[in-house]
This record gives sequence, C-alpha cells and structure tokens, in this order.
Amino acid sequence: MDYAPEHVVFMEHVASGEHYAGADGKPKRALADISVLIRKSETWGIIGPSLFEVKLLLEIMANIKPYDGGRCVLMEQGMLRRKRVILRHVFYLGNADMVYDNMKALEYLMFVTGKLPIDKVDLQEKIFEQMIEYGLGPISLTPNYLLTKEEKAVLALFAAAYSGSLIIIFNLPEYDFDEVLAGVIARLSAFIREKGKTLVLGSQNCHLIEKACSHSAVLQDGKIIFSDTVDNFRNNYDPVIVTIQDKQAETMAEKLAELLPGCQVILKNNRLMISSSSQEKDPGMIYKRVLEAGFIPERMEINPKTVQNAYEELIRRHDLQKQLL
Amino acid sequence: MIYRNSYFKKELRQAYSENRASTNRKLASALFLGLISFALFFVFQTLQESVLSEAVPEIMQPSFYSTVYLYIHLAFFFYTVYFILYYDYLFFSEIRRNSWYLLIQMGYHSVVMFFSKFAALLYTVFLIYTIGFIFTVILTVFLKYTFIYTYLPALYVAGLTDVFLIGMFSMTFSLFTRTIVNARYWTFFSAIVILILKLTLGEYNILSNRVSMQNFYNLLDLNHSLYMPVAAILMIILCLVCLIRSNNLAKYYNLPTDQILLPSGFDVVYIDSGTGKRKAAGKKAKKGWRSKIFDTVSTAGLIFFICAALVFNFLIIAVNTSTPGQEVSIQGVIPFVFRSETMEPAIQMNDLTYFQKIDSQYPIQEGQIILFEENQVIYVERVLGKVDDKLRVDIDHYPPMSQPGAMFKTILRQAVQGVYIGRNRWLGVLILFANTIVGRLLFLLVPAVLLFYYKQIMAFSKRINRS
Repeated sequence: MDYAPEHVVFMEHVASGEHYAGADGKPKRALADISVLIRKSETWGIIGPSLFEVKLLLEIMANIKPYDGGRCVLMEQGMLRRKRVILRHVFYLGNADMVYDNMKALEYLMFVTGKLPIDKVDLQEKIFEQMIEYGLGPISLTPNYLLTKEEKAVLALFAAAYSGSLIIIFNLPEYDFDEVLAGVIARLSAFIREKGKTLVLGSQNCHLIEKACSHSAVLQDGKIIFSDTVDNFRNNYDPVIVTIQDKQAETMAEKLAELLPGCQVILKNNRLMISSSSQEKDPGMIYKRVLEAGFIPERMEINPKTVQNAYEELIRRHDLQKQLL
Repeated sequence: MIYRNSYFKKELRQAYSENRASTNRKLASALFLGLISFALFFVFQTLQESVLSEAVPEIMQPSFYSTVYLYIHLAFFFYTVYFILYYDYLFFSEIRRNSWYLLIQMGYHSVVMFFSKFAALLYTVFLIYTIGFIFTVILTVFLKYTFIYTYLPALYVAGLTDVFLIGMFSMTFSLFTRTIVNARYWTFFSAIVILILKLTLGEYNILSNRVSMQNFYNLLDLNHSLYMPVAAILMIILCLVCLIRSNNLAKYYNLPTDQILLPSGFDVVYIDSGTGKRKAAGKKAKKGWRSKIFDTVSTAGLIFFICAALVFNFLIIAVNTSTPGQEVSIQGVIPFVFRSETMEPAIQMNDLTYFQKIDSQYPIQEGQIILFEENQVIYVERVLGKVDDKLRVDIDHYPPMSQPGAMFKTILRQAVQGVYIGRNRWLGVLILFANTIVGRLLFLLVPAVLLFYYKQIMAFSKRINRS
C-alpha cells in the first residue's frame, strides 16, 4: 500500500458550481462554504435531508465533479478545479451498475481481485471466508443479476476494500440498506480502517452511520452544520434521557408532562421518550417522579443515545434557528 | 482455487453466468442460422418461375452457391439483430456503467481490456459464422447438387468481412452514444451503410457472378470492386478509434445522464463563476436530439411497414379473387397473376398483369393482347386480325411438345372483356411469395400482431430494456 498522509481530505470553504434556480430568478448555490477535515483511518458518514447535496459533496470530494470556489486537498495534493480525471488513490462508488451481471457474487470478487499482487489461492480463500463471516454467505453463489442494487453496492465496496486506493467514497445515499447489509458495511468499514484506509459514505440511514462510522458530518441547506465524531454527535445532540414502554404510555405521557416541567415527553412508536435540554438530566430522578405519579412502567431504560435522535434534534434546532432569523 | 477467470473469458460468456451455457448458445445459434438459410433457399425455390430467376439467379439456382450465398446474407442480418439484442454485453456500454473504472482501480489495464474484448467479439463472430457456414454446406450435400468448392473460400471471406465490419461499427458507436437505445439504432444504420457500400462499390457485381467467385483473388481485385480494401481500411480505422476512445473514456468516472435525486420543483443550473456561463443540469439537462430523431424514424418506419403490409394484403386478396372466371376490376382495371408461358415474351410466367375493362364500342386493334371468355373459360391471346365482328386470335408462344396453332381461335367481339395494358413482374413475385406460408406470416400475421398487440409489445420491450 502507498504511503498515506495524515490528512486525507481537506476542504476549505468549498462551493459548488451547481446552483438551485430559485423562483425569483436568483440562483442559490447548492453547496457553499464547506469545510471539513478527514484524517487517515477514519470512517465518515455524511448525512443530510437532501440526497442531491450529499451526493454532490461526495462527488466533489472524489474529483468526479468540479468545484467552483474554495480549496480542496486530497492526500495532501491539490485538486484541479475543473477536470474530473479519476484519481488512483480515490475509489469512488456512485452506482451499483458497475458490477457485472453475468457472474456470481463470489466469482465476481475473485475476478476483480485477480490482478492484485497477492497469492491467488490464499486471496480467494480469504475472500470466501470473509464473505461468510460478514454475513454474505447466502448471496455468495447467487448470479449478480438476481441481486438487489444494495447488495451489488456492498459487493463493490467489498472489492474496493481490497483495492490499493487509500480513500473509498461510497456515495449511495439514495440506496436503502437493510439491517443485514448495514452490518456487512460496518464490518467492511472496520476492515478498511484496519488497513489504514479512509472510508467516506453518504447516507440517509442514521443506523448505518452509527454502526459503520467513527465520524459524521451533517449537511443542511448546502452547509455543514455539524462535523465531529459519532460519539460526540450522539452524546451532545441526542436529548432523550430515558425511554419507557408501557400499555398506559398515553396516560403516562399526560401525567409526566405535568410532573416534569423541564422535560419534553414525546410518544413515538408506543414508546415514551423523555428528553431534556436543561437541568433535569438525571435518569434516577425521572424514575422517582414516575413512581411518584403512581406508575410502575413495564420497561424503562436509559437511552443509549442514537444518531437518529441526535440527527433529528440537530435538524430541528437548525430549522428553529432559521425561522428565528 | 475456486474460480479461474480472466477478462477474456468473462467476455466470451456474454449474458450468461455459465461458460457452458454461453458455448451451447453459440453453437445453437450457428446451427439455427444454417437451418434458416436452408429453409429460405426452399422458399425461394417455390418462386423459381418468376422474375427472381432473372434478377437474382445467384440465389435461385439449384446449387451450393445459392445456399451459401443466402447464408452469408442471412448471417449479416442475424448479426445485426444479435448485436442489437446483446449490445449491453458485447460492446463498450460497460465503460459508461463504470465497470471498467472499478477494474482499473483493481489493477486491470484499459488497453489490455480493450484487446481482450475485441478478440472475444471477433472470436465469437468467427465461431458462429464458421460453424453455420459449414453446417449450410453439409445440409446442401443432401440435395445432391454438384459440389464446386472453388467459390466457397471467396463466399466465406466476403460474408465474414461484412459481419466483422458491422461488429466494429457497433463497437465504435457504443463508445460515442450515451444511451443503449441510441446505440442500437446506430447498429441498425451501420448495417444499412454497409449494404449501401457494397452496392455502390461494386461488391455485388462480383458476388453475384458465380464464375468470377471461383477465383478468390477476384474478390480482392481493385479493378472489380473497391469494397474489400475500403472494408479493410474502415476496420483498421474503427479499431484505432475504439482503442483511443475506450482508453480515454476509462480515465473518467461517467456520471449518469439522469439526475433523480432532486426533489420535485427544484431545478439545478451549473454556473461557472469564472466565465459566468450557465448550463442546465439535472432534470432540465438537454436531452439528445439524436434520440428523438431515431425514435421518430423508427416509429415512422414501423407505421409504414404495417400500412404497406395491410395495403398489400388487400391487393393480394383482390388479385387472388381475380382469377379466370372471377375477374375483379379495380377502377376499370382487371389485375391477375398470369400463370402460363403462352404469351412470352410479352407476358411472362407469374407476372402481375393489368387488363383494361372495355365495352362493345371500344376499337380493338390488331396486335393487342385481349382477355376473352369462351365456353365459360377465360383466355388471354393476341389479336391477329379482324373480320366484321369477329376476331382471329392466337397465343405468342407454344411450349415445347405442344401442337403449334392449337390455340388459334376465331371469337366474337362481344366475348372480349378487356385489353392488356401492362404488367409488373416484381409485384407478381411478391404476390407469389405472399401466397406461401412464410409470405402469409410476414405480410398478414406480423402486421396484424403488431397492430393489435402494439401496447403489449412495447411494454414487454420496455421491461427488457429496464432489466
């Protein structure tokens, strides 16, 4: 593998050439003032409500589309603004059609890795074992034309993990990865990091980001409104303290709203979510109040902090701020 | 080792996930092609007594030459269809799908991939064509025609050149067209261009000459035809263009033309801050004008075919009912297919003839060919002389073994129903063909199916394209 510098992607005030054609005739940049720093062996999940913006940002990052302003440095080398030449150190995955249909999944992986300077027998054995270990066993002997586009995308990511490229950009925010495939991506992400490479994935799946990424960036209205580790994201923005499951959840919600004035009580999917943005963050105290109200909940647990909740809260705050302005 | 694959082997498999399935399919295609040529030869044999025997004797003669000649043309047609159907697997659309991008990132080299793909295509074409050719020759052996092997090499090479050329044209176009539908149109138009080249450069003058084809070098002789050298030059140019273009395309990641990620109501424009130039992007990006032209041309062609076939069917019905004793007149003209040699050379066997319906006042001249009825039988003979209200008539040509003067008659003027005004030899052969099983299928069944099941066929074709 080539030497990998510490700073893998460095974007500073990057702006896209793509503009939204506004109704008033005044165009608005799709992406503006994008600054992000991605280091070696990190896995970044870029998330945002607009698929177009997420996709565009990753395309610019991979030098697939030109950018119009700011500075973008990949592997500590400047990128040409207007030319979209493939860079050998960037492996870009922007669609699943690149996988050949007239092969089986395992066979395809054997085929694409055929030119790597590794002993073929060992490599094939390793890939086969890895596929089974990661949960791709059931599709390993399935012809590719029978696979879903998400499965094909994971297959391409599998291949990319073995490539010599130091950055892998998995730009498929429009794809809907199920629990199993998200698990495979998470395993592949760990494998990629282990090899000292960097993975950047665009997604709208918070669960995937939670499982597979070490860092996350949230893109809203063409700007990055958050970029840090996933742990910090969850801990700082997920306001839910405890969740309660009970048959009487609805009655409980009304009562608790009165008893916990500093907290927000939301009923979601038959679960009560108690969140607080102020003083009362102690789950023990909330439990005490619940008992005082005369309820003994069937199940009450401290919220493990999820990316989903954090993301929703961040977007909510951002929208609120926008309205105030 | 579980799998031992190379890019060349992958190319040979085309659409199949098993090598064996692909090989079997190729062999089956070759045998099918041979059998179809043989069947077509028999269809043409049923049209033996028609203008075809004079116009295209090379396909009408009972000889090896005719079956093989038909084979090489059918092979060309087959390959055009084959390339259109298997376009996605045979040509360079995979570069646009970024399949090469992935392989290049994994250590494959674009030049090597180009040559592998090119070699695989030529090998596939060569294999199917050669097996089909041999099979056609073997089938013809059963007809016990005199076996003259001297013209076979020239025919083989002539046919192979055409299929290689259409393959290379399709390969080249696949590198310049963004959508598969457009590329398929280009393949079709390439086939037409090749046929025009063959016609204009005199290739058919050699091909249709059985004697000249016995000397292989006549095919390459520039004094006879320029087609072969032009084809060779074209192949070299196309090969180089493919190499350069594929290598160049493989350097870029190809973005899909349709941007589906924009929410409805949003339009995107690309603005270059340096030059201030605006370019539509996303859903408003300009759609290819070529695509619209191709769609219009193909739809118009299809409509024309259906209409022509239907009109032709009405004509056949009219002509078929207009047999001696059952004349049908269209605008005062009686058409019917003349199935006799008795009026040669003026009217030949299976010509479609037209007779002007006349009344009793019409002045019939000596030398005119007339249609008359005698004892409830219709005759066509030439007027030799007139006496009062009687006409002396006879046929022009007495077939061998018949008694000259046997058809000489003196008839009443009132018996005359029409006078000969003309003939059409090609319509005659078309009607003859339309009355065969294959002809009925082509002219009646195919348009009827297209007309009544148009929507279902279109829906099926869209499903295939999507998959």
